[in-house]
Amino acid sequence: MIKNKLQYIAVLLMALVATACVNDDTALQDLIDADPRIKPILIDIDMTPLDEGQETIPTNPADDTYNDYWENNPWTVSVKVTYNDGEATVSTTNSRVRYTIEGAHVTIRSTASRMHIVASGETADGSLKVYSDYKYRLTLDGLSLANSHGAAINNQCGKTLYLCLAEESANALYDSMTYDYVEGEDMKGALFSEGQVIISGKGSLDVYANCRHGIATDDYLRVRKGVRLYVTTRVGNCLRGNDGVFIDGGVVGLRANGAGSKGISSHQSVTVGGGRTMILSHGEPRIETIDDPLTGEAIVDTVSAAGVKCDSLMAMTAGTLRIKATGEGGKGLKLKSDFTLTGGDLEIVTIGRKGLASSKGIKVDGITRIEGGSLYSFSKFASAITCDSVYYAPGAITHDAPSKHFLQVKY
Amino acid sequence: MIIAAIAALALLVPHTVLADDYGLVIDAGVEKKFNKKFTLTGLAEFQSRNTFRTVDRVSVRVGGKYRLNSWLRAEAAYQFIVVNNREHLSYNKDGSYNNWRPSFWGTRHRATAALVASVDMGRFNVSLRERYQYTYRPEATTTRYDFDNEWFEDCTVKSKHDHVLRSRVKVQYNIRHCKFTPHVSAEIYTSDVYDKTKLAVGGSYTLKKHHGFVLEYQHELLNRTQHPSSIAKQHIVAGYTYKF
Repeated sequence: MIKNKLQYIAVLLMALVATACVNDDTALQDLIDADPRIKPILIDIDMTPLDEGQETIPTNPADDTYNDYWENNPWTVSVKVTYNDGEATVSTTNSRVRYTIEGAHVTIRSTASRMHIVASGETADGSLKVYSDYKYRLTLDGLSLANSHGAAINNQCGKTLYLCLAEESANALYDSMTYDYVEGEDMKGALFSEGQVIISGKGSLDVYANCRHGIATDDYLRVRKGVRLYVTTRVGNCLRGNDGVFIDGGVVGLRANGAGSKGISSHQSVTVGGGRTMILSHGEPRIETIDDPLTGEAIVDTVSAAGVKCDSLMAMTAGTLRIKATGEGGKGLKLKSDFTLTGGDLEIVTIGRKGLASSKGIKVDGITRIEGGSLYSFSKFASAITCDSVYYAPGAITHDAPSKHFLQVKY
Repeated sequence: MIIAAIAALALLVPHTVLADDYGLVIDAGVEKKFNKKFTLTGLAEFQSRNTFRTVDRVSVRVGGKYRLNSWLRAEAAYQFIVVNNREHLSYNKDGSYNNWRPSFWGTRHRATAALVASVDMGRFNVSLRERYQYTYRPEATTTRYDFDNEWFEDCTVKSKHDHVLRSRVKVQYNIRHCKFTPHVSAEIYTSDVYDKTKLAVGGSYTLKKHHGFVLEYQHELLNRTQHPSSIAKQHIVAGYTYKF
């Protein structure tokens, strides 16, 4: 009797042992498997022409941008600079324009208003430096200028530089690996300007920066419709405008290769209002030693690369902005204030690994408002977007992955 | 009385917060008595968790008992354990997943040494066991899923040494003309601080002097200040021992 009961118990125990084969882990494998592993869209530099339609020139002097259009000014003082294989010639009839030439290094000092410089020709060691009391217009008409000891074009005028690209012209600027500085003067890139730079015209400009930034201004930078602008940097940022960068149109291709370098950088606002802008950021983080503003002690700071770095409001209202960041911790947008997207197509892909910096698609220290246009942000190893808060206008169709690496918003 | 006192003291410490887990312990052992003082023991054990559905561990143990006098004996044993280590999940500050290390199989080496004192009080037998337990967990390499990088990566689980003092009081009642002997026990685990208490109630049955059976219910009370997120176990223990 007892023996039979023991046999029953033994069978029961064996059955319980045999059924103890279930995994008790949290069902995360399903989440991992369910991740669509979105294959990011291809982002590359496409410099093919863009049909942007007719550009509207403001005619009301009260308009904020009225003075940014060279068409609203007469240009009566003509200066022609021609480079030719290590030599340069300058011709002008105005006595208020003086100039010096050393080889193919041209320095113009002008007290004349309404000056229009037309530069053309090619040289492997030359430059153009301008001191002017007034804003002036500089047209590049088939210019290829390389400097062996500094910037290709150095504008020391604090007023507006209207940089015009002659229709169908192809222009190129190269700076040197090291700069010979003049005491008391800045020289921050292959094309440097103390004053604001307005780039216009239906030609093309290629800028190859080896020492510092590509195009740098201590004021603001505006790119108008019709421009074809390609900038590549070995060290610094491609476009740097202290007081703002405004892309109104054009085809803009930027390739930032340096550690911590950006495609577009500004201490003030950045606005994309048209055109097709493509940024490839390949830089790794840059380690800097800076002084602590409170204690004065030296501290180590990590500066990550980014497509766009902006210390104030960034707004996108129209056009296309495509950014791809491939370096460790390379971000798409790195914004210290708010970001608004009301129109246009913003596409960001970051594939750099996390290390000293995190390769977020969009990093906004303030508020993000997505009220129109479309957004595609993919980060392979970090968040597609991080910010204080995100506001979507009614009608937004959002799609994100189960993980935080992907965000798509359409209207 | 003693058991009740220990249980009451144990209950003064914050214990049950999380739902308990239920498991089964099945062991089969042999005992060879060489003389009146020395007995060699061997045991194989199976343990489940997750309401009997998941293997928790399997182990083998060899040891010996040495009777020092009529009321005191010494015990020592070595146990090799294969453990199904539970998963480990960590979170980011924003509450999202950080890393997930799935459950994995690992090993333990355990050595124990004990002194057992027992005294008969009428039909009751009261025993006190003080057992020192040392457990070594070798370093192991397993994988974990990194949610930030969206990949599985190797991770190393470092080796670990555990020292535990286990103090058990057990009371048995010898029923006249009956081969079934009921018992209750309470065992306190102390590492650096009080760790947990294991309460048990059950009985043993001897068949033809060679076959010993034990059936027991065990209930763990964890010190929640030490184990804020661990799951307390409730076990049904079924044991068989063949005595040569």
